[in-house]
Amino acid sequence: MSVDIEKLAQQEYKYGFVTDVDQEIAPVGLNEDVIRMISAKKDEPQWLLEWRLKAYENWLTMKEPTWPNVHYSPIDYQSISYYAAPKNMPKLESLDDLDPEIKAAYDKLGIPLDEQKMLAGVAVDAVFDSVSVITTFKKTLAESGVIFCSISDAVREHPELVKKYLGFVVPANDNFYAALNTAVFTDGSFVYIPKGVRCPMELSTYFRINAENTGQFERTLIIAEEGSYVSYLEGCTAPKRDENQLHAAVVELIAHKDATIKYSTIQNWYPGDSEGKGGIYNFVTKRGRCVGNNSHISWTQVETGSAITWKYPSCILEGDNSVGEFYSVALTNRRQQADTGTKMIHKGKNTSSTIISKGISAGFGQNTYRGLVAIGKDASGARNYTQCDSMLIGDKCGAHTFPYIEVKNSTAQMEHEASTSKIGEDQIFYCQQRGLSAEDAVSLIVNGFCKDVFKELPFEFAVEAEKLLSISLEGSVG
Amino acid sequence: MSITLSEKDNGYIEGFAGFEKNAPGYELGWLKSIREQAIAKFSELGFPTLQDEDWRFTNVAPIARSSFEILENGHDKVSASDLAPFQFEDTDVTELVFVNGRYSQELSTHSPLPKGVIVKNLAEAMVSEQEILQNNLAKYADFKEEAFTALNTAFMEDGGFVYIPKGAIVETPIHLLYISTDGDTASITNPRNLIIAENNSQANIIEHYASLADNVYLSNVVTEIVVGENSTIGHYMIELESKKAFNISTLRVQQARSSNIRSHSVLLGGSLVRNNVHPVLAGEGCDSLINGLYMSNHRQHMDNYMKVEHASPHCDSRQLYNGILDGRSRGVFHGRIIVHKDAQKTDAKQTNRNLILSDTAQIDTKPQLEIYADDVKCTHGATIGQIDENALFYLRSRGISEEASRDIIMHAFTNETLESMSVDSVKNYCYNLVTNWFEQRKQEQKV
Amino acid sequence: MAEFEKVAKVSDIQPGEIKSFVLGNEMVAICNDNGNFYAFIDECSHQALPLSDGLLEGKTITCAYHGAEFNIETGEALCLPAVDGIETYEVKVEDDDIYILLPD
Repeated sequence: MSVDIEKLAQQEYKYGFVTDVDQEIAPVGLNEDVIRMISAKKDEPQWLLEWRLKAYENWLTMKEPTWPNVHYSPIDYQSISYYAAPKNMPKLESLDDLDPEIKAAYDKLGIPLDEQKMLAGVAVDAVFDSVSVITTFKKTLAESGVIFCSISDAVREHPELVKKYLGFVVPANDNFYAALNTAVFTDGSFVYIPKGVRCPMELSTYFRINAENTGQFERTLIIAEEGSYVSYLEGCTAPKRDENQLHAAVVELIAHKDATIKYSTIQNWYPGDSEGKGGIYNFVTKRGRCVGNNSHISWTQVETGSAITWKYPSCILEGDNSVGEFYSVALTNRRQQADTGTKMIHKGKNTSSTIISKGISAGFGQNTYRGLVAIGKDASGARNYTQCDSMLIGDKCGAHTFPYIEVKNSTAQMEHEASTSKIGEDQIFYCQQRGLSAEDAVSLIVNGFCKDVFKELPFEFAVEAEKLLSISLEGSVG
Repeated sequence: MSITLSEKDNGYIEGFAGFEKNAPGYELGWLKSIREQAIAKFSELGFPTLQDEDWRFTNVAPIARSSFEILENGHDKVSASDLAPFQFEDTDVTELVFVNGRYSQELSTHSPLPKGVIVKNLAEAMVSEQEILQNNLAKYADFKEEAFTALNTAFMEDGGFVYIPKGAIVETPIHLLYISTDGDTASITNPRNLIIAENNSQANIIEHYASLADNVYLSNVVTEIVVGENSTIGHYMIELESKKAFNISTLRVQQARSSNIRSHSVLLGGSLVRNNVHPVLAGEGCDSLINGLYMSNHRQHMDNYMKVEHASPHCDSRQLYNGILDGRSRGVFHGRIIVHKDAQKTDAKQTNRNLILSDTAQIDTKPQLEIYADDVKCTHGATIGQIDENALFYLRSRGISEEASRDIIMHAFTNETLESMSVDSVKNYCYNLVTNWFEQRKQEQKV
Repeated sequence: MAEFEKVAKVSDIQPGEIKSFVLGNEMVAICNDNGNFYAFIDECSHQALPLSDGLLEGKTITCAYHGAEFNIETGEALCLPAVDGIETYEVKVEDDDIYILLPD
């Protein structure tokens, strides 16, 4: 069974293009002045500037962590520009006022800023590099009391909420990248769902990283008041670049009593070429606090891009009966590396968590699942079910699992399973016999492998995820 | 003259200088060189800290911050009757007894063994079996990366040496019994065992660590087992150290083609225990069974670190570790399976099950898979919980009292591990140990 | 039965200081808050790293590694990332000696 791998492996990264728009880019380097400039450009209040500066001071004393199972050349934080915004930046009333070049870029990306998508009922906050271009559908959401805007707008229009919750889940000194993000975050989403409201549409955000040497540092904050529900989708794409680009985002979720937050991600950042050059470094801190009783936070992710993925979307289950879930598909092909997983911290009574992680390694990819399930002393009746499965395609890749289980309460019930497998030649043969090409066979089998995770995604995302996986696996069979 | 080792003022280096000149095998150039490299490495590495990933759940600062003495002889404190509680019920016995780490000829027993089989203490083997030693000693246990192994390699002076020639089948279990006696100061011993089984041979070896008192001491053990082609080795490690003792043991196994190792660990004593088991399946078609039972109570801390390395294709490994934790004790299980690039058709399975009997016991478990080959079958599983309510109900509904039902379930749990022991005398001995553990627990609960 | 064990000398720990000592198979941290001694296990409940490396201010110890805070008298966890409190021990001072009781 031989396939013309070479041709398939040359498949260009579909989204690798650059938009030539006038951009205002800060000079490279990180120091207090750059931070003050960012804060001034965004017209921020004093308390936020002080918060940024304190985080920066802390960051200077911290050491970059080296424990993950990934290898990369050291990042020179002084050679990155921390701010890039397209020049025409007035607030827009309608889509017709958008810079045509930017509009064309978004059309190419398939971002739904047009009527068709509006009918589909998805509100979009499209972020072009560091500044929000437009926030559509603010009005429709406002009718139900839902606030969905850029974090910069939220600081201006809802400062009490931002001040109350920013850093509530991920404090500034939490880790090296969170501290960096706190100092230089330039945008992201802010979502507030008032008491008892079920958000009428799925909220979505697209990101891009454009300018060379501009790392993107988004900060997202989602607050779900008592009895509310929101489903949030995050999908990313980036242009092809030679220099590595850093993406150190922070996402904080707060779920009050009886509230539910569903956070889904499709990550398709530029993964680097076949030699491992270029590609995005995706070092993200994502965490949710189930503060109220019966609250529920669910993370679903499909990670196919980035040269290096390093993230552990986590849940702190504080409220009694709270539930945390993590569903993940992580793919590493060519020279990609991933060290990802989750942390479920059980604090309240009768809390439960579910972890389903599917790792697929192909090419020279190295895929690591790292997870923590911690049951606190008072977390009686805690339940956890974990299943980590790895699939290896080819003999040059690696799949690793490092699950940590720490139990301090005798009534906890924990179950952990992990398995590793490969796509059998007989399975591919079976499919080929029935007229499928080898690549389609692999696609089929892999999608079956990921079924448990895909079914957690909102519908449009599920479709895109399956397509994405197929594209990302091209060139891996043989 | 006793030598004191401590981190203060370069105590370990100074102590080594004094120790080296009087150590067995000092005149052997190759051995002198190994000891010196080892102390240099130990100096460089220092004791592991909580920031070392492999020691993340076990704080050895109580060892690092204490000083220990390498004692002079303590043979006169032990009589044959003292050994009785630690002996097996076999009629033919090959038993080497070490008191405070040093061989005692008077207390040991030798029975007839098949031709060519050598069982003697390491210090003597350094004189009479130089060629075998030079080719094998310290060739497998890693003294360059592991601090405790480096410490043992620098200060090794005695232990068990077992050599099984081609084709020999040894029926009598070979018992290496280490006894610690009471003392005024905290002492350290570095037992070093070397077991070599040539092709097509079979034997069972038991390492046994026990104490006659309740004092503080450190047993820092390293055992290397080289298993030849088609050979089968049964290995047992029974740890019954004093309730204030520290026991750090490292078992490094090197398996040749089609060889078979069945290693059973039973940890019951000690205050801080670390059990490292590292088999390397270097030849094709090997089989490895790594079995363990740890039972802890009060403030005991038991850490089991497994590293099963599949370096060759078509090998099978099974790790089955069961733990019972009571009181304020703390258990750790770190089970790594590493499958190298060319180790296709590996079949590896690992299970760690923990039964927690108190509200204050803790367990940290980290089953780990590192896989670099794609045609493999690897699974691992870990469970933690209390006694299954359904099982309890089933027994009680048949008229069995709650207490007896709990006993039955707990015994069934421990028997899972003991059942796979093939040497009956050792299995029965372990059954008794486990029964005593449950008995003692009941007595304490009544108080 | 557990007994009080002599662990340190009063003169070893000055007011405002926190130091660690070996006690059995554990490290124990002893704080001096204005002449009152408090003892607890020298292990942050978050990742078991030594609290004795941290900052002692009045009755609060802040872990140097990830910022968790504890009340040295009750052992209560005061903020994330710590979820559980830490085990505190009874202290007895006789002349210049500090004794600690480690429950069995």
